[in-house]
Amino acid sequence: MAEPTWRWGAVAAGVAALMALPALAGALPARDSGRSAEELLAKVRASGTVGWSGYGESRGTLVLPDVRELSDLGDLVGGTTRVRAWWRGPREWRVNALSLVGETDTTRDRGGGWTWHSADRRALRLVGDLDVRLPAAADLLAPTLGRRLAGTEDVTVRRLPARRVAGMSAAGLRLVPRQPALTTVHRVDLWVEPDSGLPLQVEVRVPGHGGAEGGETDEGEIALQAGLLEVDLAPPAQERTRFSPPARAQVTRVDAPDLAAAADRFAPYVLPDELAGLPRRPRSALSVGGGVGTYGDGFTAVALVPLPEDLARSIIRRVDPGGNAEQAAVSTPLVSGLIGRDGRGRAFLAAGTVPPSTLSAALAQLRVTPPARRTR
Amino acid sequence: MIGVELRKLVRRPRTWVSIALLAALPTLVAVFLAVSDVAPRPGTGPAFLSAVLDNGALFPAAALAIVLPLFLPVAVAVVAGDAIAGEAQDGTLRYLLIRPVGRTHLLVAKLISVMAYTLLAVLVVSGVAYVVGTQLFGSGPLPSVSGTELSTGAATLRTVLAVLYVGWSMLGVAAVALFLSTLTDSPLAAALGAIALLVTSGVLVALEAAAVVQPYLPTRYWLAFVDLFRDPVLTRDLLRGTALQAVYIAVFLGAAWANFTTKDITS
Amino acid sequence: MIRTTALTKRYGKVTAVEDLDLHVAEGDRFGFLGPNGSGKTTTVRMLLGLVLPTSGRVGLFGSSICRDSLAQIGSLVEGPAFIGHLSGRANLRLSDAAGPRGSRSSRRRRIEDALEQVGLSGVDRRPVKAYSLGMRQRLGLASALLRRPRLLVLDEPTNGLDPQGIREVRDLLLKLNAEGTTLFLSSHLLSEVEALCSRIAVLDRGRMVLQDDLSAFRRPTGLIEVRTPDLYQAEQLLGKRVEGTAPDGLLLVRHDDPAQLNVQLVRNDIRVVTLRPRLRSLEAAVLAATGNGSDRLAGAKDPR
Repeated sequence: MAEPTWRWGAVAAGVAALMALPALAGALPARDSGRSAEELLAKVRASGTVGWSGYGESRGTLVLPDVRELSDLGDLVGGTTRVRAWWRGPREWRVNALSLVGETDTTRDRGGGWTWHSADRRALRLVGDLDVRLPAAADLLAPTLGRRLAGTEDVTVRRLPARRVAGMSAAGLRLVPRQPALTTVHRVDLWVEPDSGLPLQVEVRVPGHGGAEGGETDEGEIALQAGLLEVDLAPPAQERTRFSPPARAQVTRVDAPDLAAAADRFAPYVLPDELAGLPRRPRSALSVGGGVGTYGDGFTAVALVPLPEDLARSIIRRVDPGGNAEQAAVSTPLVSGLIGRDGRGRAFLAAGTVPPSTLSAALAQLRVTPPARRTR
Repeated sequence: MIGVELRKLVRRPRTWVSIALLAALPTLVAVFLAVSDVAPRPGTGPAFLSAVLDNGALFPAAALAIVLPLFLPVAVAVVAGDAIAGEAQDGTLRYLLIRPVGRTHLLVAKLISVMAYTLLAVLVVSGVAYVVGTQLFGSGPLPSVSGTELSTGAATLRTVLAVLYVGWSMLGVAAVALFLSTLTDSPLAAALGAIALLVTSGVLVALEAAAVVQPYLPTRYWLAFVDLFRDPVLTRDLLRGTALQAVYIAVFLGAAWANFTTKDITS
Repeated sequence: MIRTTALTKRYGKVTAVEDLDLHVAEGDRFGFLGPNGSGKTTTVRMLLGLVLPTSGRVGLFGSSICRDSLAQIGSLVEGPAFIGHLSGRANLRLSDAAGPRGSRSSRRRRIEDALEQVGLSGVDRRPVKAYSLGMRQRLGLASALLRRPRLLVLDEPTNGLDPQGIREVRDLLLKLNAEGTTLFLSSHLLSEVEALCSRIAVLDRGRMVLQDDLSAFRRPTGLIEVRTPDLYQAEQLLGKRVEGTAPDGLLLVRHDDPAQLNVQLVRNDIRVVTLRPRLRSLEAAVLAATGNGSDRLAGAKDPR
């Protein structure tokens, strides 16, 4: 009969139209700006002062061992993180890492930063900067991550076709390390808002299993990706980047200089100026003292951290339950970590985007020449 | 006809029993919290619950979070699944249609009656939760998830929007159940069918491997009402959730209409 | 009132009703007979727009099935149905409010009238689920009468009633018919149809096998039944005209004129207790037309 057919037809047509809407929106073409790779790279490096606000997601595929001290980090690099951010400048921003029913917010101001955990209504005030800390959601924000990676000097740069990101045409940029043997990074692809240089999407790839390892034909595998899905390229209002703890919140104050001094007291070592062939990085202006060191740059960054003996033991036991409690390695395609001891039996953690062999070399170096005690 | 359906709704004992049960569950939770004074460990349990001990004004939102995963959709599915199939099972459907009530007209009246039930249910749940929460835990300025304090006006507005959002999400469930209700003469089958869809959707939402289909799942954006309590409101998922439910409502009501208006009534 | 042309309904490969041409005129008491499973209910549902025909059409009051035509029909299909937890009055109120022609101002009076007509005027506030089968049947009739319909379509209206109730309903229907309401009565009970209807259609396995006035079914057979104590004399007198005798003194006589026969018998001093023309029974006509009920699963060669 004709009558039932037209009704079902109308419904089917409606469903088809609704299903087609997202596809149509995604099919909008991207316009290429025609800027050169070098010009874009310079813009990206200078984009820290570009004000913006938006919503983004980052996704990591790295699996860390189940160690309690690292569980937040494990979620960050091994899962999907949703963030909202308001950015006025390198020392004036707020990044809210969203969970389904709560959020962890980080705000940055000239004196330091706030961290707010909505789940247990806890606010942490950090005064000053820390030289070395675990990565946080703010570090995986596409602009922050993209800018950090673009700071690497030892790379070749070329243009990729433009792509639509967060509703804008974004210029593509590919960074390939000149010395692939030194780093676990296969290549980094950035898509950048061409006028401001703000990275909107970042893909970090490690060498793939197929093809010639590290060769030109190897497309690699995505280890980490971050992108903005909504972005507003106007500096947000100042109050958006400020934080003051609400009533009845539990507020803790931590002074970075105190932390650094404590670390210094615990580990008053003179760390080497060069580690496994990587030069030590200059420290930030606000940081004080510090028993930790960072080496290399961009794709080949290594952090060297002295560990308290009990923490070192507990991590080693959990990473390598059958081991000799002397050494433990954690390795993912992108990041490697190694806990070991120097010539005087003191525990150190070395970690970075380098092959495990580099970390072994670093600890071997410490065994041969253990860091000297600093004299006051 | 709409008036008749609404009268049937309010004169039906089941309506009030189910709403009372819905409101009783959060109340029970509140009483236990108040007596033991032990909040769930942060990050565990339903949204907002850990913060309720500090501020009872947050309890309506927490109550919605408590009934949202299971009780509310089940109640809505049962009522909507009963809409046509229940009349068919009782034999009253044929007399309504002979009366005559136009089939489209009847479907619209049923839909409005289900909408009224849904709205009534979320309003009663949040209203009871507000009274219970403020009585047991006291009230204060409502803190947002982002650590700012909301003015009373803003807090009320956001709570009202949350209630409406949850109600709208439930309408998607209602549309599915209503469609199934036109397919079968068994109200139980219709309700169970809708619930089965929701359970499937809930499993897939939690499954990383199903990321491709997740934006299309009916339960995907249910919890987005939490975003109303962020500061500023995160509209992204709320808008998507609203649009997605609108699509579900349109598609399944369309299918319900196409099926019901061309169906042989043999009950 | 009702006119169907080539009405056909198929469910997949099964044909429930085929090529049905029904004609019910205004003022008819139309009996729609057929064994269970013959397609009666499907036909009634098609008349009321519940089941959509596969082909053919239904005309009601000279137009097609529409809101307006349905509003002039009161009906009872496959037993009454009510909202169990409400009282009979509340059910009628809701039903009346649901459709057209249910003006609010006259509602209370119409409800009371309808309840009175079916003998339920004294019914209290208890819920329908506490009603007996007969009470429900009466309430169903009341619901059908609520809008004072021009046409009543009733499916087994006396189902569940006691003999007294059956008589009451029958009288009510006859009275309504006398006042101008057309009756369409679907039943598998011959006696019911025979007692009420003026016109009859018989359905068998989806096809109409008979449609005629009741009087046509019951035409004289040309035989006259005579009861007399003087059996022997009567046989002697009538000779070959006697078709048969029954042991209780009933003679079957072939004769065209009962009055003439009576005169002949009495003049010959034969006492006549009763004398009447034998009519064809409806039952015989229907059985002849339908064969077996189609819910019987016997093969083609039925031993009967």
